[in-house]
Amino acid sequence: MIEALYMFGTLVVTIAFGIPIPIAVAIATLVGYFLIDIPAVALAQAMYTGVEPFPLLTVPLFVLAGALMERGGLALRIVAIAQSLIGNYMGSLGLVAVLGCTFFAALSGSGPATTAAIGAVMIPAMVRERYDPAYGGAIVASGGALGSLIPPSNLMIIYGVVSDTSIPRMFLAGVLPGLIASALLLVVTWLIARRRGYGGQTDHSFAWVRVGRACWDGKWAIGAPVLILGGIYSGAFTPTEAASVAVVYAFLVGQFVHRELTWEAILSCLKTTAMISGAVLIIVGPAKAFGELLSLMDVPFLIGEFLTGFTDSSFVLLMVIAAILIITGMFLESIAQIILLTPLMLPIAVSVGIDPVVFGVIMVIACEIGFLTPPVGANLFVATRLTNIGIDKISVAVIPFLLTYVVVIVLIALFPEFVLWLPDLAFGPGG
Amino acid sequence: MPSLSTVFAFLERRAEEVVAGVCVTVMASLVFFQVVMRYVFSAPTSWSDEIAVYAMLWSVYISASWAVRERTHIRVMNLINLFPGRMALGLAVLSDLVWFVFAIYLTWQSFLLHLSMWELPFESPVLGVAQKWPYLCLVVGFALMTVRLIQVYYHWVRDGILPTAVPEDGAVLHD
Repeated sequence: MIEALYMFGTLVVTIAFGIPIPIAVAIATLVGYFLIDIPAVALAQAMYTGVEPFPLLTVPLFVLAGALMERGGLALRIVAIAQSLIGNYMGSLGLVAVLGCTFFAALSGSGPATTAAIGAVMIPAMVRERYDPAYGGAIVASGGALGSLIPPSNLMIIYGVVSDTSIPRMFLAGVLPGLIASALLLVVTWLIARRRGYGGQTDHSFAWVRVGRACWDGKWAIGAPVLILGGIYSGAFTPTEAASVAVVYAFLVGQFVHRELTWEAILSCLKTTAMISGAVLIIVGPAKAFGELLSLMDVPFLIGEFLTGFTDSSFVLLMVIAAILIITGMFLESIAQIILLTPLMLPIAVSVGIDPVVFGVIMVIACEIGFLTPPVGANLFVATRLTNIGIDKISVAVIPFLLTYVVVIVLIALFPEFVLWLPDLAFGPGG
Repeated sequence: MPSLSTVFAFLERRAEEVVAGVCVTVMASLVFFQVVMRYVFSAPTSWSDEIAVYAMLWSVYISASWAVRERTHIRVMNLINLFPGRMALGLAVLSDLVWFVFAIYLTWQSFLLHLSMWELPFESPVLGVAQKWPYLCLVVGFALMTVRLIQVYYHWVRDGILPTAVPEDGAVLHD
């Protein structure tokens, strides 16, 4: 146990003093290896084998597909559909942004990418209508977080790989919580807009003709989730294959149908994908070594003993775990958080009878709250860049929206059945 | 015939992004190729998955070096930035120094792992690829990372560009 404390100590100190997080995890693992006499070459080995699982390919492929869809005009058409559905209500631009994020989340597997895609269109529109930029930034940051909850989802893929849970089951489990979160975000957006008296645009009143026209115009954008999710659930593709199909689809639509993808844009999408691999996926190897070493030291068992020592209610336990995940999520990048903490926390949850799929959804929502909290909040960074105002202003404005995700976690902890309803319907219980 | 310094400038600016970009293209194409082979030609392949995974490994570790140049590695600077200016810079330099030493150590350990595979060859089950070659991505990636870290400090000493600054000619990335 004392060795594990040295490892955690090293991790906290190195991260606090600005060592890049993957390197900090590797250093902490090395400290553990040194203390219990494992040769350091095992770290190099784990850095290779950690990135070796085939399903991991799904993550960069969905990042690439999302980037191509954004640059190829699919994001714009999705916003147009959302706009036609909302019409001219109080604060309609905010509602359009939330709805646009909800739809784009069904194309994209990433929270920050959803924020970037919808924010690039909606933030300038909201600023033109004299909305407070901090409020606009908070809406797209929190709406963008739906990108990881509504399938496809990169975080769920990572969780599936780490915990050996079925990825298609995870995807379906995210649908209802995602829709509930989206509905709550719409309510919060509307309440704030009403209090501040944000108007709508007069030329966009609701009409079925308008909806029909926007949907026809955006038929290729609507086709993407049909192809991706339909392909996965009909059994035609694995999630990894579906991601490659999404890449080719986004490329063909952007290039030949919308004709908005330039070669420079394609190159920039490839670069973005590669950079995300280098800066984010590099955590996978060291985090795997770190997690395995802690399991070898029986740390998950000890933490479980400690937590179940003062409560045996699965609701209280889930709330305690969620609180821990939200706090660590403030400091850890979300993929790092899932790889590091799943091996520690999942056995505890399973021991009190919590389904790994339910636990995974709570883990993902806790990571989304992490997206929205400083100091490490990817969606906040994107929203800050799009609005050109300080991260401190958006961090405050995002709080009411962030609370909706907390409400969703509490709902899931109270009624875990509703998360499992859709996957059980599709695949039968268990499995 | 471009001069040697143009070639060098191009490599300095683009080497990793070209390799990593090609790897990403290969990954996407091979996985899609596999789908097409299965549905259109009813001839599933197994080698394409293996090559796609190698491409992912190379793209990850080569981009990790590129991310040093662009200063996009994920790190928490909030605590450091609470200190007054010069001390904050000093702490950032210290953390880069620890990183630098560790990068050399990782290069060395990866190299030992690579060497051990010359003595005890080990091949992939499907394609029979000698694993020492894909494993080389670790050695190359961490060695380049070390060089990129030296470069950041070389620019500081020569041109006065602070080691915490993002390079002006860097790639524009949207997230």
